[in-house]
Amino acid sequence: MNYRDSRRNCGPETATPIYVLKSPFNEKEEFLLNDGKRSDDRAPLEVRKMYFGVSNISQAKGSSYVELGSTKVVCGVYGPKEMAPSSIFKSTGQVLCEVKVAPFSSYVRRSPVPDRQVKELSMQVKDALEAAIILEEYPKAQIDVFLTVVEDSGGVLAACVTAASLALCDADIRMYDIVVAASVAWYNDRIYLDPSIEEEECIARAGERLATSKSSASSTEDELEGSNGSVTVALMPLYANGQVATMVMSGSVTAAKLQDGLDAALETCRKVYAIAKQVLIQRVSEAKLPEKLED
Amino acid sequence: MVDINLSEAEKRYIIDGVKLGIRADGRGPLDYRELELETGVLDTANGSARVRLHRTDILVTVKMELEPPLPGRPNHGKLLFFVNCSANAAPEFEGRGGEELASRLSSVLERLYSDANAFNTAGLVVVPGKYVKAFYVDVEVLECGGNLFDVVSLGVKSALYATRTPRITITGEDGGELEFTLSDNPYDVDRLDVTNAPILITHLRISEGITIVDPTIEEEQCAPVSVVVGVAPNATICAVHLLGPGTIGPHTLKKALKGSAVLGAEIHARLIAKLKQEESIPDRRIRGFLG
Repeated sequence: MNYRDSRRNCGPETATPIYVLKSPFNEKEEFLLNDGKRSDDRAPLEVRKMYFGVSNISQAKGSSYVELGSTKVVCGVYGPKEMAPSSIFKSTGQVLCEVKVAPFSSYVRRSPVPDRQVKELSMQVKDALEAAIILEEYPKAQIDVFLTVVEDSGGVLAACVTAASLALCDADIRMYDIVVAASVAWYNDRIYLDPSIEEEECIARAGERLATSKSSASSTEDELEGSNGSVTVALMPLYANGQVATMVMSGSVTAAKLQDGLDAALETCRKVYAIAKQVLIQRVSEAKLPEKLED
Repeated sequence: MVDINLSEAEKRYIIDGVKLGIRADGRGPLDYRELELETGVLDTANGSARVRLHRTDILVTVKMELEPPLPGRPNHGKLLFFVNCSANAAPEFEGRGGEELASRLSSVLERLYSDANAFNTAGLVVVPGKYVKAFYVDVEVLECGGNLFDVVSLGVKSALYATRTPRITITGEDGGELEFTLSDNPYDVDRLDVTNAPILITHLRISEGITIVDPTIEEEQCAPVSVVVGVAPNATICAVHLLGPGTIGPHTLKKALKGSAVLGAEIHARLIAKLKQEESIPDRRIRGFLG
């Protein structure tokens, strides 16, 4: 956020950036509108429309394109190939995962240089993939996974994990299971599926509002504070009766609420899995089989 | 993390032991080891703490700077985390080797402290919109011998507890520039509110349904995945991070989350009690690194 772009005409030192004044996130205090719908006309337990496509990059061994609402992620997989000479020796295969968040992907322009958040995102996706790929099948080889976030409107980690695993399937990399991810948020103790970026932002500031209201009006002990936070879970639904490959949670949530949210996220993952499977089956059935060699 | 070579037989010995409820050092699955803690070990920082848990040694320092606020947040201070895994701790950390672990640690810490309920940055301000207090928390990993995340989080909380910054008063204005005065009185200090600051509890997944807390470095070699749970003193969970390339079943995960909330609240109470006890010692001699 605190980033001055030297290639543009900067305002004076004391100027306030336009996105602070005109940010769409500033005013949103209420999550649910009066008619019980969210700001984008969804019910609390409704996910955004999603689209999965595979084999969209001709140069890559495998590729995919994922949309969650208006979040858009493109993924390309290259390899398995020989390990880079600089890397540390490992007898099993290695995954190189790089997430790029496009400068134009969000409301505020992002630096093209990966910041800490983006690096963390890469590592989280890598953890999920390393758990899913049968690395023993690729001794001393490296599998490159490149992801580009074209538009970020919430649920980027979930979209990246799903996209990467679809692309790996498309590249015929051997895996234990397809790993799919979903995100869930809590706002004032209520569970919301698949939060958008406005909602994510709103939740991030919810704790602040709670903290300030607590310090200003001396609250009584029995007043329970609401759970606010969000979680992204990556699941392999069929491998060993369902295995969680990644879980990233932030906020402030009671243990009981966390369990409920986790259940909701896992349920969503299973639904996403069904769609992913369908897309992959379609890709296989449409694929041109090599013509039989004549004797 | 750090590699020590264990044979398959040694690993089996540890895993089977845990399955029978006995760990190699005689602890139960949810037993924590004793840890050594000292605050105020460095004069050059506003706050510092050194934590030693068996063979893990962490030094945390907090330094304050006056900085312009983040855009859109004129009344909020900053809390920034930097972790350095030095090659002293493990030869693998040499060069850029420790970077991945360090950035993992710092991003987990950042997430842990990002919620305003955990640590409220509002009010850490000198001149609204112009100067806010930025607290740089630097974590130095001196020795890496298992359960690194928990020890780092305990160190960070202790160091923040021990942080004392001189009181700043605005004395006047000179040509649009404000003049500050720092109090000379060493007892006239500002402290940070860490009553709700969270800590991390790591559960190492041994097998489905069985997790252990406070793993030793040998135990960490036996399992690919652990759940790092951030717990606030009121037993709410404020961060979860799955560490390592393995997977964990949902039931095991839930059990670990529930267990962490209970254990975390207890460790918080003990930590604060110890910190208060240390503080109450008159003319405390600093032991530092001499033993």
